[in-house]
Amino acid sequence: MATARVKVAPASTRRSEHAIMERRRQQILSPDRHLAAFDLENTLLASNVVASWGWLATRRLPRSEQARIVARALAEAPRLLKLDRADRSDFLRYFYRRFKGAPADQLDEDTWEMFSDMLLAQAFPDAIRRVRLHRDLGHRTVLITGALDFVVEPFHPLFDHIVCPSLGTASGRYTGRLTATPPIGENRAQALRDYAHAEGLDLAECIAYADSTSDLPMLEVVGFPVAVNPEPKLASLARRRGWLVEHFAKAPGGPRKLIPIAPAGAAR
Amino acid sequence: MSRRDAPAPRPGFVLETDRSTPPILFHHGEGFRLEKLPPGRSRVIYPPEAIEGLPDPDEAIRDALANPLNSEPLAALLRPDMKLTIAFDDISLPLPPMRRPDIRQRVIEAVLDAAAAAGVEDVHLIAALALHRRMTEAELRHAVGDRVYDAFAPSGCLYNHDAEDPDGMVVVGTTDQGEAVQISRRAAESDLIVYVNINLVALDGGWKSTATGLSGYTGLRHHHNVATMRNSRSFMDRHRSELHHSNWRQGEVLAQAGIKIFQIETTVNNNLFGETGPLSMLQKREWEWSAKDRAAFIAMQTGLSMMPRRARRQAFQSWLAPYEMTSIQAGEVEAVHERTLEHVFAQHIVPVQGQTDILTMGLPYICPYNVNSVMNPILVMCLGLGYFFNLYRGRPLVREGGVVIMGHPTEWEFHPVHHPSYIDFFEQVLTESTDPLVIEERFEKQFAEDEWYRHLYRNSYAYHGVHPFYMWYWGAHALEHVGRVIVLGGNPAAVRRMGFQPASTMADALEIASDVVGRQPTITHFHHPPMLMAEVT
Repeated sequence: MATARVKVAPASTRRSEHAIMERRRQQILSPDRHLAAFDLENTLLASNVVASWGWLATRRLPRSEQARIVARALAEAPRLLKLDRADRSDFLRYFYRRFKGAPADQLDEDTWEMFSDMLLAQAFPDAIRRVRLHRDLGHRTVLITGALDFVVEPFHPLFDHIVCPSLGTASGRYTGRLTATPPIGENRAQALRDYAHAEGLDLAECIAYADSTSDLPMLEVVGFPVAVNPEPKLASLARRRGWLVEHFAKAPGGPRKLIPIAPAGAAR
Repeated sequence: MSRRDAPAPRPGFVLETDRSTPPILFHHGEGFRLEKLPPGRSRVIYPPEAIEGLPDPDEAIRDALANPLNSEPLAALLRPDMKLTIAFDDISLPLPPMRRPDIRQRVIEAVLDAAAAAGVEDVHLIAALALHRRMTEAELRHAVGDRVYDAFAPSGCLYNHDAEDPDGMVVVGTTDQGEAVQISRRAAESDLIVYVNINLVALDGGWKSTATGLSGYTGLRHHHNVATMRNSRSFMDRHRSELHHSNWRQGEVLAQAGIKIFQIETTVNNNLFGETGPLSMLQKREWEWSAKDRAAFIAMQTGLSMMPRRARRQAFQSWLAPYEMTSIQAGEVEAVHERTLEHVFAQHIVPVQGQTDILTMGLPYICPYNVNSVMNPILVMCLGLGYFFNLYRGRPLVREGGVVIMGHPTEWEFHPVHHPSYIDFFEQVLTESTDPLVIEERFEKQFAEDEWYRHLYRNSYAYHGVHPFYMWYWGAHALEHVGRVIVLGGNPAAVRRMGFQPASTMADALEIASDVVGRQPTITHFHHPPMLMAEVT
């Protein structure tokens, strides 16, 4: 019987990439690891400090006033973006000044509604599950973010430790000034080093999840960096350095918020 | 012509299809399908038309409070120094939500008037949601009315039940079968609980109102489990339902513990979509659709096909049913509930002779757990194999080993705020097993006691971590009874994840079913909603 040769295509690149990523994933999901550190924005959820401010600022306003605030914020957007790109710490210091005079109790209370209406609605379920998986494996979990303490407070049960900036208060109102340098860039890496040192953890056995090149110092300080939904520059770097890349998405079918404002008449 | 002058509402009936039978309406999530069923061996069960509502609901409420069953009048039970707790059904009832004023508002206002007249000052109002999600302010306002909300919520006297509050729950005893009876501490310590119910289907009400609605995982796990659901034939038939037997045993313990309950139960008619208006054709029989109905249906289908899914969902979820109250009875729990069931059955029961090889059903956009939310695949399963399948008395509509074909898009979609544990259940549990017993044994405790889910249930608007398990158990009797489940028009990946088979057309579904029931099976379509309950002999 005659035989014939059939040309077969080489194993698909996609499949082998998938296998590589799965291998890297198994490495980080080993009980041998010590700690998993997470950035918040675009790593655990699709929101940012401007959106949080927009929601809180409009929470107790009528619809007409809400529209005015949104219009003003949109007009300011290009300048804020430029400032953010130039120096994120300076941007946060500048931006958080608009909390000056805000009643602390009221904001703390409103934050819990924002947690449901915006933050959880924009969260990445796979990312939340990953935090919980690390906890199940006995890893310490740490959130390191530039978001304010009262904004991230509802996420506390997911983390053993949260590193985030706080605003000063005077007579029950926020002053708009940060009480310490925000954990951004190199400070973020230092915060992680300090925590690991204090807890006696080996950074080589730690994992860090982040989405941006501004988080590089934190990613580089750990033994197992993970790029989440990486921007192009970080994606290319992650590929070159052999880092695990994760793509976390919002829940399909969940509510979408085009403009970050609170529901009208939500609080009376 | 006003409703009062209209001919008497017609009872439900069973139509044997022939070649002249028009295509039959199937609800299909946020849309509809028209399906031609094979003539000669298919039948369609139609719900009874809406019976007349009470002409003066407020007068009927006053009358029920003054002339209760097996109890003194409400006014005689009230005194100035007492602790009064008014508990009421949550967002899961009625479906769809009803137009204002909601029945709960009418009844609660009447109870509060009586309490004010008696000088009662310590009054709390609790949304009896068990392990459901908390109601939002807007939802509470809709249920109890702005006047009640503004009078009680700001001072913290109107709130959602919190079954995970370590200080707010108490175990009052154990049944003779070892079932712990857990209830809200405030309710337990009250001199009187007034429970305000809307009995949409026969499942609701009775001791289930308090023993389940004001309870938590410690009490619920004794009847919200696979064995109980498999022994409830059906859970809509109170006297043949192990779910109810267990609740009744827990109720006995509540009574023995000295907890006094004044139960107020109400029933509504089948007027879900309106006698007139844009959706009125949905409660008419297809061959009776006028030219206007047909034009409205075509226009609606065309409009829906052009809308994005999110907009379609919003449009459907905004529908408020023009329900009318058909009865109200108050007093001692069991006497009240027996009377309530008579009214429920008067509206819902349709006699059906014999079982069928294939049961078809069109699942609508709403179930008790996705009001203002997303009908995720687990809820699709629960609605079809839990609620619809169990709407029978006597025997299931489909024979043992038969096939259920349920139509629904079954999109791979979840509400991240309302259903976080459902997402993980779908990803982590159903990928391991779809067998309710295996799921219960391996995973339930872990989800039920999970700190993150507990946090979201208490502080956000999430269903409890264990809730997706209960939804799966709700279908356990059907899963054990039927030979195959086919989802017509469902997302294939989501449908397969649940262990069912997808089919894109009814012809395909019947072809797939033929492996199990042969080439000439009998088919019965469960034409619901409006509500019906089959009495199968």
